[in-house]
Amino acid sequence: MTDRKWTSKSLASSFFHRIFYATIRLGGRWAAYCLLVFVAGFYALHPGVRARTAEYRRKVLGESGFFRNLWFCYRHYFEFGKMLVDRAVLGILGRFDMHTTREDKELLRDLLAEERKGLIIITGHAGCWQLGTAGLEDIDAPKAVVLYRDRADVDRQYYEHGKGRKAPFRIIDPLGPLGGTVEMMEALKQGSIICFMGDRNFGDGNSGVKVDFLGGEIEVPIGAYRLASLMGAPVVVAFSRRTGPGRGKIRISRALQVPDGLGREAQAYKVYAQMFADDLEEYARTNPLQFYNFYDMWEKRDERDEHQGKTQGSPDQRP
Amino acid sequence: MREMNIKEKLKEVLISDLNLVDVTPEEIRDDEPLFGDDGLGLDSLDAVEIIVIVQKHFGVEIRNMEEGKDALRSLVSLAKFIEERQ
Repeated sequence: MTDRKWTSKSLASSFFHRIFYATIRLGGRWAAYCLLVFVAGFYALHPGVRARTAEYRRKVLGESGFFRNLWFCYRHYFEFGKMLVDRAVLGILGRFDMHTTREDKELLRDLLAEERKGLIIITGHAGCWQLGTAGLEDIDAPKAVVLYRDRADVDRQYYEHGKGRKAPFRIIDPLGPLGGTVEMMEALKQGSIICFMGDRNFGDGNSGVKVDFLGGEIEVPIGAYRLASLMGAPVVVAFSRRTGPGRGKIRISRALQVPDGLGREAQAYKVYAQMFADDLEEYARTNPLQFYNFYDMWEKRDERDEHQGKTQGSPDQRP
Repeated sequence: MREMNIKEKLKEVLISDLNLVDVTPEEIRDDEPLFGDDGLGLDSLDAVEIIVIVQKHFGVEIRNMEEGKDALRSLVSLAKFIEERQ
């Protein structure tokens, strides 16, 4: 395991999550958004929480004054909170409208039919990615999501709100036996669509490569590209965007075929990881408030080691 | 005897197909774990590659996680799995 800087653990306690869930049940989506105004304000004013996205703000805003930074930070947490509220509303009240263009759906169907080797979708922690599979309901193929969850995580995936409701997709735990890779292989053989997050690395030393992103270098995982090479599965890079209350869109930014026989060296996959990073950068520049990696992605490993006491195990993600 | 041959062939094909440049067949202990720092040091995606290798060279398919978990523990468990299914 790498000394990763992020965790999926929520910033808020289970108690505060329950308050939001109760608010949604009693007052609906808008009541939860109103509550969120104060919660996002609290996080934006908290220096420790604000510091987590300081480097990201520097990258997208440039050098800017305190109040501009503060305003951006507030809207950033507010946008993220709205996405989490929408996710909970989908689970509790069953409402979310995820739009996928006809062209993108046709492309997905064509890739699945032509190759018959499943399909890998690589996306990032952006937009309403946690609701993304809702936009794939029309595609007649089993779906799986490679999903890391912190043991201490208290917030719920939307399908967990209904008692005994089955997840609409299979969940593959990347920290399971053999990193879940045999399950991934099995799923692709069955013609499944597997969704990967391409912007955070939690594997060992050979599992990531450095790519250019927003004027610096970050490390991203290469597992999805290597799996595509091994299994001959086509890959698409796609991002979702929250377009309004209970509404979102998914767009495919590119389709790519990773050649077979690229081997074990992470560097062999760098070109594909860079393509993903380029698309993610374009997304972040166009939708700066919907990019949700709440930690310093650009921090170098040696600097990270120095500050490990400060960063390791800190709940860095969610309001 | 047959398991012995399978083990030797496995060592050769793992080294060549996984491109383990610094490893010789003699250095791979039969019972050492294939994955992790305490063993051969392969990573989780190498598991998929090994499954492909086993199918290609031995005509044996590891179909799912249940089979894979036991078979991919060490060289000897993998050789046993192959022998039982050939």
